[in-house]
Amino acid sequence: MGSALAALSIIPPSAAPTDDERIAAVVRSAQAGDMAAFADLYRAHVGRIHALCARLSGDAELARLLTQDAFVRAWEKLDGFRGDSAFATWLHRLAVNLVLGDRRTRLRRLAREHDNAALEESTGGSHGRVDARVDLERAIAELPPGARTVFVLYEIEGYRHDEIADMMGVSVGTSKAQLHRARALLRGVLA
Amino acid sequence: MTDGRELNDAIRELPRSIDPPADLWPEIAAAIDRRARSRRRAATVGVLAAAAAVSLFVAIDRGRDRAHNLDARWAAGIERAAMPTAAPTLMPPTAEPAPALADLIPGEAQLRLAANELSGAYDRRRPLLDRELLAVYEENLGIVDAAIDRSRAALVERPDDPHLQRVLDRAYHHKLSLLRRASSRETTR
Amino acid sequence: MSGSCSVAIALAVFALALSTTAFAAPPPVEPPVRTKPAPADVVVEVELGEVDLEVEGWAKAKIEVDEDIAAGWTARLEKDGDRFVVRIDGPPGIPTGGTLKLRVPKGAELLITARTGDVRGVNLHGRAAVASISGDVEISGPATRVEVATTSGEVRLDGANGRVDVETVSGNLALSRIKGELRAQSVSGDIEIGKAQLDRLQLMTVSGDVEVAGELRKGPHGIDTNSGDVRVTLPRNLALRILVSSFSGEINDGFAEPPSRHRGSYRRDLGKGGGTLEISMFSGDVTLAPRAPG
Repeated sequence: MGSALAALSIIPPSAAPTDDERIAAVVRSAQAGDMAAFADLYRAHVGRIHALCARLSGDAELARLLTQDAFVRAWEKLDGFRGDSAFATWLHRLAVNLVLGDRRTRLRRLAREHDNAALEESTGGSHGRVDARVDLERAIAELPPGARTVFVLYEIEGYRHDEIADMMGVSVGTSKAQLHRARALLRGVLA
Repeated sequence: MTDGRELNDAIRELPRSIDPPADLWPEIAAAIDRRARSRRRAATVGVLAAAAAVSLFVAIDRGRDRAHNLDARWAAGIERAAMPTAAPTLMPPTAEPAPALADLIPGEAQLRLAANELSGAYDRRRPLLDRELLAVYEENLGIVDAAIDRSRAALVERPDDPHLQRVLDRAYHHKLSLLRRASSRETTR
Repeated sequence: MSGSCSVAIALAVFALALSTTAFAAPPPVEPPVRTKPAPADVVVEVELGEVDLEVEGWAKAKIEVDEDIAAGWTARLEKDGDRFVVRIDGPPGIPTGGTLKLRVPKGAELLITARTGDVRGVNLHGRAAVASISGDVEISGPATRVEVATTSGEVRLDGANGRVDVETVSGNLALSRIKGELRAQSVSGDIEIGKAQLDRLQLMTVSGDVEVAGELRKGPHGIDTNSGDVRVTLPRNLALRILVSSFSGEINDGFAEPPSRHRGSYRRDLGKGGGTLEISMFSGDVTLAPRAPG
């Protein structure tokens, strides 16, 4: 079965659908059970979802598993996607909820196994901006889980405090306090 | 990088998209396939358990006027089995291989029956649950169902292993406990 | 002349004072701290909802309620027979939040229900029972009986001395310095027990990991998990028989010299005459480790 996105892309320009229409069509195909269409959605979104999972979990191996789980879960819940929001937003929120639930389950076990390797990998001989970026990524990974979650969702993913509070089941004040704590810790670590 | 502005600059530099080190699609596709097969199995087992339950209740209640009770129990089992069009029957469907009904531990049919009834109550409560709580219950029901599946599969290979029998029994215990919580008015909102 | 000038100034000042009084916003009304006398073993029911709770046991025979919660909402302290009830009241449909601060006699019996609100209790010597959905629970003090049931909240207990029962679905449990009996259950939440001195331990998870460090006396003790990993750290001089059964996991015995690995069923005897710890699992790994000296 050919790629649904690829098939859509050969429609003549005069009748070319917008990106939103194109994605909606692929989503509808996937909802109808077309795995190739879902594979297209996977390829279009895997980078964002994997980045999210990696930063929220602070663990490379866990991020891989969570990314897989997020797409499996998305497939199972695809019928529930009504198009009220963009598919990317829906998928992103699903992944956040999954990670917030799953972080508590597996983080410590996997962190124990992989922390050392991750630290060693990230201390390679790079310089300048790349160095700063790697340092920041590593510092984020080493934040306490609550502070890391709020920091990633607010500063990198652009969620509002009320949304974060809702997703984490904490008060808005707690979310703000965690962000303050995360930023203070990061400034301290990176100074 | 000591002040807030520098930190903000560094945050802006972070990539929003990071591809995983390897293509995850083959594993995702395999997991989707596994779960689909598992659900088909579970649905069939649910119908069979409900059918067995009907037989049991019919035997117990014979001669008594408890028809609506029976219907409710039947509905609970069927609802969880996600086969609303199936009609009540006292005989198991012939399409299902017979070993699926066999108890691998003492009282397994009753455990399945209890789980089906609680699942029905949970399904009726689901629309009232908020998204986050629902996600927790769904995730953990999946974990428990997977534990039951793998414990059962091992027990089929080694039916007389008392350790595996205990493992399966505990997995059912978790499922009932979880479903009780998920379907309770006090522990949902 | 100077007399009329003084009168004019006085009138102006009076008028200014009058206008300031008339148009200035009234000062914010702080909810008063409420205090009521209560016996040392009083029963206090708290219904939190989304509000966080900080509760402290103190030596006084009275209950004190203070609050910092969303506008329009208030905490009501009422006597109901021989018990007190603290309830958050407010207009429906308006989100609430904030913190309720409560001081109770340290031997009080606390019955707390929460939804998303966090519960933090310190210096509690009596019974504490908390039913929550997603709020975190943190209790310290030598409580004689602690019961916590939560769906996804994290639970941290420090210093109970009696009997502890904790049940969760996905929240992690961190329980330290528990003496007496401990029973904990989770589906996917991890269970971590440190500095324990237990006469009876019963732990069950499906996929959550289990870590136990401390002394296990009397018994019988049991740890059941399906796919979680188990790590048990014990003093070398403890008397305990450990029986492990795992279908496909690995059993690592750090008490052996040199450390050994096994599969299936395994037994390790520490000393003689102690209790029994039975570890049963399907696919998780088990590690038995001696506590580091010191």
